[in-house]
Amino acid sequence: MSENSNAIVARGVRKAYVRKKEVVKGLDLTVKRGAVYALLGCNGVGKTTSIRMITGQLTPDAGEISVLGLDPVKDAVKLRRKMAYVAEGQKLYDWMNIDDLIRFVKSFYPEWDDKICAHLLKMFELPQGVKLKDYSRGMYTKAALLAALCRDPDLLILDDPMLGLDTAARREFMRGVVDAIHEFERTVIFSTHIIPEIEALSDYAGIMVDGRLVLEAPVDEIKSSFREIRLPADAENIPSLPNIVSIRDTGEDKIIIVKGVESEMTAALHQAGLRFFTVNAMPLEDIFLAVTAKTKSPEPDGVSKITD
Amino acid sequence: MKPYQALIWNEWRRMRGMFLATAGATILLYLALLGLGIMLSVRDIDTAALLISYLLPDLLALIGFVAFQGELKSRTDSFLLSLPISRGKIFWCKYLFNLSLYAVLAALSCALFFPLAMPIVGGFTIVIAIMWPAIHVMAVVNPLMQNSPGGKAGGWAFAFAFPALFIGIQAIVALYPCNELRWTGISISITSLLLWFFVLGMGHYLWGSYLALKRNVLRLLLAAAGTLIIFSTILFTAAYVYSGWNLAASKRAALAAGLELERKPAEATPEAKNDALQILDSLQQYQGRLEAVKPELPSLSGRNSNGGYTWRPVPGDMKAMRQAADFILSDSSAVKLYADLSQILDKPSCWFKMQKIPGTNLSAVEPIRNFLHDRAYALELGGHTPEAFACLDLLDKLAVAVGYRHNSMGWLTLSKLRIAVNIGPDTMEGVKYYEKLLHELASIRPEFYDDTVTWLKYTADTFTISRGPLRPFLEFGAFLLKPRYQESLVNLLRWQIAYKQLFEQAATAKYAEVYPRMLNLNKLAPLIISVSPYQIQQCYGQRGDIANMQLYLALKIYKAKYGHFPETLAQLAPEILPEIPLEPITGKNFGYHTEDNGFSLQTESFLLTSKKAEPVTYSYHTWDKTASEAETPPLPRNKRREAPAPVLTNSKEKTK
Repeated sequence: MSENSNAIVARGVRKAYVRKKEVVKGLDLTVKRGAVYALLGCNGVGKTTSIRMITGQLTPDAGEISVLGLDPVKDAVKLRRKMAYVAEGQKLYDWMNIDDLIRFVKSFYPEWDDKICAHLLKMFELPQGVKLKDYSRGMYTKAALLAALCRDPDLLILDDPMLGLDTAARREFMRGVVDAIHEFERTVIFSTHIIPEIEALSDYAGIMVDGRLVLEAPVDEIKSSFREIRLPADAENIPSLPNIVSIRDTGEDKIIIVKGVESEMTAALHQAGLRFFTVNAMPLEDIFLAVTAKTKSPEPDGVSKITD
Repeated sequence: MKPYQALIWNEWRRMRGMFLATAGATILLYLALLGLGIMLSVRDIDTAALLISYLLPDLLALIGFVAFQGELKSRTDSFLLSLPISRGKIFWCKYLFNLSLYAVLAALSCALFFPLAMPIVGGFTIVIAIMWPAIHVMAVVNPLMQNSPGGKAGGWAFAFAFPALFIGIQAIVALYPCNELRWTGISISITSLLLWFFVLGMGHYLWGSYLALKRNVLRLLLAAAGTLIIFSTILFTAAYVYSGWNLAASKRAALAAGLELERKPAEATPEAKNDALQILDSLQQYQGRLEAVKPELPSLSGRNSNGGYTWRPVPGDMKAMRQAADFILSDSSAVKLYADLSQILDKPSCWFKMQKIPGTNLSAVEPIRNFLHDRAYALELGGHTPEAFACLDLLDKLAVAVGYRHNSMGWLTLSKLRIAVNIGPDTMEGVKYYEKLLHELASIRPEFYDDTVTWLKYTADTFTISRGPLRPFLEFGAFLLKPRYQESLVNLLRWQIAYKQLFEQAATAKYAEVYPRMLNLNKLAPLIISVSPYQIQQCYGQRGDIANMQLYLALKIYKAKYGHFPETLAQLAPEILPEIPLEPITGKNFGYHTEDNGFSLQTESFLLTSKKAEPVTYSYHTWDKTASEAETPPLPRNKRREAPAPVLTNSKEKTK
């Protein structure tokens, strides 16, 4: 795979904060150009730290990162010109209104596109002449997104921008994101743990557990690789399937989550003499929960690569 | 709009409210000051100007803090840092712009300050203006830089640059080969400003350091502790020593010269007059420096209740002495003994009682003498001067009680003299008393007079040569090298050391018993001391004393030359004094009045007046054996206020 086809490549990246406690413990991450990448993980697994290293705001203790072919630390200014970053709970200058914000941010970007700006302004329905501090949370976050998109960045990084938004605001924001992504092709990294909102949007997903990426693959492949098998509660012969992720007894059913090919699973179940069972596809959120539940302490080589 | 223009625009919009509020507050405060000056007295302007001079950097400092800390507080830092501009440019844009805001405000302040308050407070604002950029640098220790490349090194550098700056500044102040009051003034100014920085910027600094030191609280505390230790030890000790002892030495030298002229006008005039003129000159230089710098002295001193200054410069000593004196005055056994002694010695019949004691002589009354002697000394050092004088009066009565024997009288008077030498040159009342004691001594043993002058010169020397805790040893060394210094000096030194230890222990024990936590809190006291109007008063008090001593000495020189005192002070200039010193606060001439055997000087300025703001008259008498015998010992201070006021020559008469 050519490096140029990748927007972000991180290899063996580590970062520690207090008393040598590592937050990121060897991150290997690849984001292809033009893809929408969902970086998934629970709170505190190192998503924001990883993203801040990718944006150059933090320096890695070890490992290498290349973003759009640039070193995020050494080429920070150059990179920031090509990249847009909306942080978790992004705050803007409250004294500004949306026109002030546009005027301010525009001065840093020669490639600022007024047409895109006007279009987004209309699309996001942001009221002009109102101070940002008087915006609703959803509007505020959309204003931050607007400031990020109008510069037409090659890479857009959204670090949990929906955190703290209520459902209505979250959907309002997501509509804006979906429209923006569809209209302007660019690489997007979306860090979040609100998975249903971005499932349909994402091309790739990476799941972080305890400072490492334990699964990284195209979303469709992830979804086709995991199956939920439901057996009756009294089923005694549980087949010895390879790659069982988890087994759960709900009282009515036994639920087995398995990674693998569906036809092979079905064959194995029949072979075990089971007649009553269902094999279901799983939403990304359930897969995420199963994987994170299983992989609390993954081995160093625990990154699952479903595709190359 | 270019990037830096956008940054400045943003900065201005963020700071605009605070800047305009600060400018408005500055103008309003100075207008209020003007109003105060019209409605109230000069004293209030003095205080208010000082307050404003504090308030202004206070507000300015806030601007500096908000520039960087405000970004963190409002969480706009990640947005700012996501812009394609280097951290260095962001930093300098913010820093320089805020500095320029400061410059505008400082100019505004100076423009208002100088015509209104400059004649009183002087160059304090200039010092603030000079120091501000440095403070600003410290104030904007920027957590924004924490995560930049080399952030670790930067963080460590910031964390330790702060204490290092303190060390550097204080080392310069402490080690600079010039122990003039000028440096004390600068040192104190720096201290006060840095204290403001402490108050306002510590939160910011701690946050930055906390991040820089990788959130290690222990390292942070170590850095802060180092700062505090350096702060409280070097600065206050050095600053205070410099201010106190020069003045003490000058006063003693001046007094010795004046007395020398007095005693031997005929043979000593040419040489002694030269010495006196030299001392006068040094006093004038000293006065000039005070005028130029107008520093604020630390409030660590044991300022005596009657406006004098102790020569003991170490704060701990003074505190101990105050505690000791309070202890003496409250200790029931000491109070009772003193009351009994007063009662006995107040009755003429006690003379006979005392004389009936077998072998009544110095050794028999020595315990009593020691008691009164120690009590007077401790009370004086503890700031209870009227009580100390009353105690000395009682010592006089004791001398009468033992029958005026010359040997006993000599001893007792010498004891009084030892106390008076500490009280004497430090207060104007003491000078008078001192002279009187010398007359008494000379009436018994004329050589005492010369010896005492030698002694005064000696103490002037020791004040010049010795510093801090080494002082007793240096004094002793000087004594060994110069045997002519009398044995009594050694006794005095021994006694001083032993006495101090005894009373310190007793007072500390008593104090700890009553206020168990207070002693620990007291250790923190120097950290919260800053320049106050009280210290300004001290400064003016010193200047007033110096002016007084200048006049005193000049009048003595005039007398030595013409055989009589001048009718007005104006006659001293230009022959003896280039110009007549004025009272420092009012700018008016001292009140001057010749008396039968001497002269009196009077001031109406608050600084040199009593607690009830009544003017004080200082009378000086020439040495005249017959006259001195007829005079009564000086009254305790509380009785002196009833003395008739002299005629004022140049100032409005305010006394009853």
